[in-house]
Amino acid sequence: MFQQNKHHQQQQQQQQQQHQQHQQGVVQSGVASAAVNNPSESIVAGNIYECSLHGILSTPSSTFIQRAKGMMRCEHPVSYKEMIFKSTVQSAGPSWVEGSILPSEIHVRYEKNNVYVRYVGVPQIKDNINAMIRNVVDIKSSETFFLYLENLGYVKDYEYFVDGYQYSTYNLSLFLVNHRRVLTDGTKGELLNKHSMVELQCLSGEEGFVAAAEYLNTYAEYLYPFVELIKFDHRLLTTDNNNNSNTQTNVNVANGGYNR
Amino acid sequence: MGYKCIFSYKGQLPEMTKRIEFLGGVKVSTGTINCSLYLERVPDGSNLIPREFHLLLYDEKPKKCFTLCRDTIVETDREMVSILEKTNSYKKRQTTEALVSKYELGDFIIRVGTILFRTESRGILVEVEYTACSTPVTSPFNCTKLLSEFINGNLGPFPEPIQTSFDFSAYPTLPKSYSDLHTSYQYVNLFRTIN
Repeated sequence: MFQQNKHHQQQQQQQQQQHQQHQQGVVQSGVASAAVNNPSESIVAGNIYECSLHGILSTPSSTFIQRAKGMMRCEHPVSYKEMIFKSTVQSAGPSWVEGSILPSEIHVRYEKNNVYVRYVGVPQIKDNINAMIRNVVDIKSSETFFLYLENLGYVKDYEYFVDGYQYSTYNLSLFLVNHRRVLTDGTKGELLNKHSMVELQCLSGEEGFVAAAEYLNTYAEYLYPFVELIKFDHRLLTTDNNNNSNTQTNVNVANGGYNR
Repeated sequence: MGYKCIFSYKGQLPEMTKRIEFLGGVKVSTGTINCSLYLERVPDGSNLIPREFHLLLYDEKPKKCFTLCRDTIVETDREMVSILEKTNSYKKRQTTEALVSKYELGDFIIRVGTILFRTESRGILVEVEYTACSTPVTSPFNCTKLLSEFINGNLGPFPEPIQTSFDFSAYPTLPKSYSDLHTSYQYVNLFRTIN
């Protein structure tokens, strides 16, 4: 999910600068946070990776929130609409064929009349690292970006509302959110899942995956009595020999309970 | 930001810089203006006409980029380039670059430099900005006449009088006041004409 509230991110950045000496080589999230702290300032593109763990909160949220507040330093509400645009051009060949064109996705978040654009890469398969790792690029844009995407040949694939809270400390962010459908008139519909989704997330450079995953799992252990945070492995979305879909809990975790 | 007039002409760069310095212009900096054309990747052998867009980068605005597709222009963080490369749906096909020197001359800022297309010179780029003008583009009190007098009277002579008014009415998404988006439209139209 996106790093959000400016004021919160400014506080986080200050903490990160102090804490980074201690967490050398773990994350470069101070770099990425700067982009959201002051969207008019760019960040070094490089390669930023989002390391995350997911879970479904099935226990009372009040006790979980108390634990989260105790562990984290900042809390602020999140509320935005996320739209996923997909390109319409693709070739018939598989991904490994030279010249093959696969449809690409661009995520656009609309929050308080601000437009944020995100590229989310395919999860990297690293069996020795207990966290989902995806390359991400975040930028700020304007409302004309929607028209621009249409002109580029992208169409809206699906969308949903996200409401909840973000708790953060140093290089970590914990999201407790609900997803809602978007009705035909653009307003919020019913909840996609009666349970809230929990995501623990930090950003890392290419050299810090192992340390970032350890960092995440250390925090996840403190949350274990309330929610089990796991690495979502998309390879588990398979069919068995009888061609029955193997609907793991991971599916609901990753999709936030909504249906495409 | 003041209103800008951007044009090119076939001449010698030293002649233009001498005229500017003779008028009292002071060189303050140099930079580049980069305009890249991206074409949509289409399957081999298909009859699809690839879409295209132009991407503008200014050295003076290292954190921003401007992308123009059809009649829509968007200002984003410069990492938009990274997003476009990673999504792999568009590929850069050609680049036009202008190496410009910036001069300050009273209320005017003049940028002048050589336009390069594949290392080949395509003329001299001149951008004249009147910083004192802040009226909307469509206002009858805009500075196009003043710019015309300044450019044609002081920076010339030119083979034909330089037109200083640009019709932005075809681009409804532009703000009312002159901005970097208006400048980017002028640059893209200029580079399209040259190439």
